[in-house]
Amino acid sequence: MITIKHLSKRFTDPDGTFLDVLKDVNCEIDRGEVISIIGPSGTGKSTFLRALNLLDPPTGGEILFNGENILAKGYPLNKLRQKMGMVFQHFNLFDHLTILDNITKVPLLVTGISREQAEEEAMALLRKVGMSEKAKAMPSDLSGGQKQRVAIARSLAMHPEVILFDEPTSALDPTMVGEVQSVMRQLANEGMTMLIVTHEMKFAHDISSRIFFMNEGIIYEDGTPQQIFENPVRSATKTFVQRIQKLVFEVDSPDFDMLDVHTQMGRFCIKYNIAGKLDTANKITDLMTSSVMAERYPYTLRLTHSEQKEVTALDFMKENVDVSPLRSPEVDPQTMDSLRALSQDIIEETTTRGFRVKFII
Amino acid sequence: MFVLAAVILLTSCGSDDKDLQNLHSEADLAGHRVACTSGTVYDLMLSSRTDIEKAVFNTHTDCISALLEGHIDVYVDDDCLIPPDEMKRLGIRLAFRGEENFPCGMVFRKEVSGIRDSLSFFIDSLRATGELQRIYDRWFLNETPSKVPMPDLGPVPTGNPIIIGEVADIPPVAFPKEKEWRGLEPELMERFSRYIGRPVEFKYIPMGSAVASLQAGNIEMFGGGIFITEERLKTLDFASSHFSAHPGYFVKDGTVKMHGGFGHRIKNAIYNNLIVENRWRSITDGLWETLKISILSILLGSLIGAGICWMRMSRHKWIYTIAKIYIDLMRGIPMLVFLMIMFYVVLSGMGLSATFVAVVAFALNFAAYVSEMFRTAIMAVGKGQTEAGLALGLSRWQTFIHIIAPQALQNVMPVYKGEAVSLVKNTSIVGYIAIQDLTRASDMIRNRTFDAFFPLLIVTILYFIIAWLLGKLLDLTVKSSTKK
Repeated sequence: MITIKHLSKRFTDPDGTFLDVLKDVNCEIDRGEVISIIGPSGTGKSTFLRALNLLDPPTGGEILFNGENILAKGYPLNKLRQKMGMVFQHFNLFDHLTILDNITKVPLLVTGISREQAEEEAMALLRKVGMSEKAKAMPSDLSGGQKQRVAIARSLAMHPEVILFDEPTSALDPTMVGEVQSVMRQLANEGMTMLIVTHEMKFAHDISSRIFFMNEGIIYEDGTPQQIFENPVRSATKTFVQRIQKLVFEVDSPDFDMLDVHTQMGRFCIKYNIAGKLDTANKITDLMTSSVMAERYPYTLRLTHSEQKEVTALDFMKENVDVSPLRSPEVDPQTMDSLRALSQDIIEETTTRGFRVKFII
Repeated sequence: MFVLAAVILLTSCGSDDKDLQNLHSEADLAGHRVACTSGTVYDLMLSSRTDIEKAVFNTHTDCISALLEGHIDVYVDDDCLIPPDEMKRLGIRLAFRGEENFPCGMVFRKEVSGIRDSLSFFIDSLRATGELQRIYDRWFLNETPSKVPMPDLGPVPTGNPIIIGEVADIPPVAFPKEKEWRGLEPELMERFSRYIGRPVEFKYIPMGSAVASLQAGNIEMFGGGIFITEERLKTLDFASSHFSAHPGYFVKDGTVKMHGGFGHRIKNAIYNNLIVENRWRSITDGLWETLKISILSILLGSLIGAGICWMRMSRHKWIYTIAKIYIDLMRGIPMLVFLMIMFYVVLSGMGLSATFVAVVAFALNFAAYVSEMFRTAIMAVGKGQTEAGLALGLSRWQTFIHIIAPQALQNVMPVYKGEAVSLVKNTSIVGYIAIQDLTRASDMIRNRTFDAFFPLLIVTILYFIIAWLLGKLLDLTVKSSTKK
């Protein structure tokens, strides 16, 4: 239904500085697909959605909608937007109209529908999103979740072929996220084609037929929820979906400030709620730096924590080496025993750049 | 007893009735508080006296009010200024007449000789036959000149009228009554009209803007007891003098006492200010004029303001620069100055009515202010509202009209209402371009009754009611526009 080729978007300031938010986006979206777009902030997820319905017209590339190039001059933009609904993060209900009028206003203006019929349809849609009781209320009388449900009904009133959801639950109180998500689930079950920019990973995993992981202005990885969430191919995807936090030190000489390393590890553990692992991390660090790694400068010391998998690891990496430092004859067995006792697991592996010793703690 | 004596002493100090009884010549003025109107020969005369306390007021009405209130002892002006019947009613008497003799004439602009020469010839011939003296006597020697009727002079000639400004509103010189102008000057000019075969039309013009009006060609000539002085002859021309004025020294008549209770005085005030000579008609006519100018200016000004607002929000640099310059310019010019510039310079000589010019001037000024209000009100409507409209498939124009404008209207209403009310109040300056609005109506009644309080009270109440009703009307407009 939608084919996107080499889509790019550059924002230019009046002073000539510019930012390439979308660099080269390519994808194919079929009817009935529910696609969640995930990725770190500032990688162009919302810009991508807004480029699709030309709220932020792209600066390059091609968008084919049902085989027609919508970027061609003279393409009926208003008709396109009627077929391509949009739900915003901040709802954007018309503040001066009642809930019912919010839904009937645009159909009455652009389609030849009678007021009676428009109101009948609007009431049916309100019932569908559970908001029919509030038909006569003003938007200011509603909670965030209720507003977003009305916004979805308003978008449905135009009988769109696809709906673009731009972070539909990001502005909501956590208690209201569920009601909006259940309306969206219902739509997905009915076969509506949906593109959803979201930060709710579990929701994305459950509702989607496909996931786009966006990073650095492109679709970095594209696949089923299982592929993206359980077996991501690329490391940036993995870092993002497993929500991996890192603390990195480049230890280059015996003069390196190890007290500072301990201070920062302390802050890191408190921040990610793993204070219980601080003691172990400190002990392993002390043992390793004083014995195993003592004569191997420079090396990299890295503390990582995956919030999704709740796994914490302490890595020691040395470039251009293919033998584990632990296997060196200088390492005395007592130290080895202590290291084994402190960690849950020790993984020794070669990487593209050298060798890594990973302590799971 | 001591307290009572002190009060009597305090209240009587300064204006000793006995002292005023002995006022017979200019020498007797020494030590008194003497008032005159600014810019008159009397102003100059009093300046040379160091033995008196001089007070200068803008209008003769203010002088008389001050005299009646006891702020001054003596008021010097033309002896014909207050007719005998008025003096009696007000409790004023003419202490004595000065010896000076001030010839008065109709004023023309320089280098326009045609009508002026005919008028001079006409006046000179009336004087020769003694007719001028008879006309003078009929108006000036009458105890109650305001009741003297105009003589029947036969049918009015047809054709292009000669427009005559009158700065006076004083019997017996010239005064409007029952839709016509009466007095010495109107009679003289009506006679001249028959002589020259063209109709004449009178227009009240304040002294402050009479010369500008003359130079701009809005009037052919003006009168109202204008003294022919050396200084004026340098820039203006006069027709032959048609009468002479003498200085009159007016004092409060101590023998007349205010009588009657509060109720009686209210009844008198209503009678004198409203009932006599159908004076309420000038109030209703003035009210209509004020309403007309206000409403048309608000409507036209809002339309222009919307246009300026659109220009100001334009993406083209030169379009918004023009709008910005316009706004800054309009906000920097005082409304009165702008009104005078429009009437006497920009739109003069095009035969446009003063009311039309006032509406245009006020609308242009109003537009500058409300355009900025519209702009901030539109910008206050969140960007998301526009995006929602567009995303649902409305065009930019539809989004603006159906989504943005109704919300902007709600935003702008409180300040817009204030600006509209302030416009209504500002229209009180249109008297400067000879429009008889509500304020001018109260001045006209004040000129006749010298009662400062009552006419001002009435127009105050009327202005307040207009402002209040306007606010309600605007509220209703918003309600009905957002209900849809």
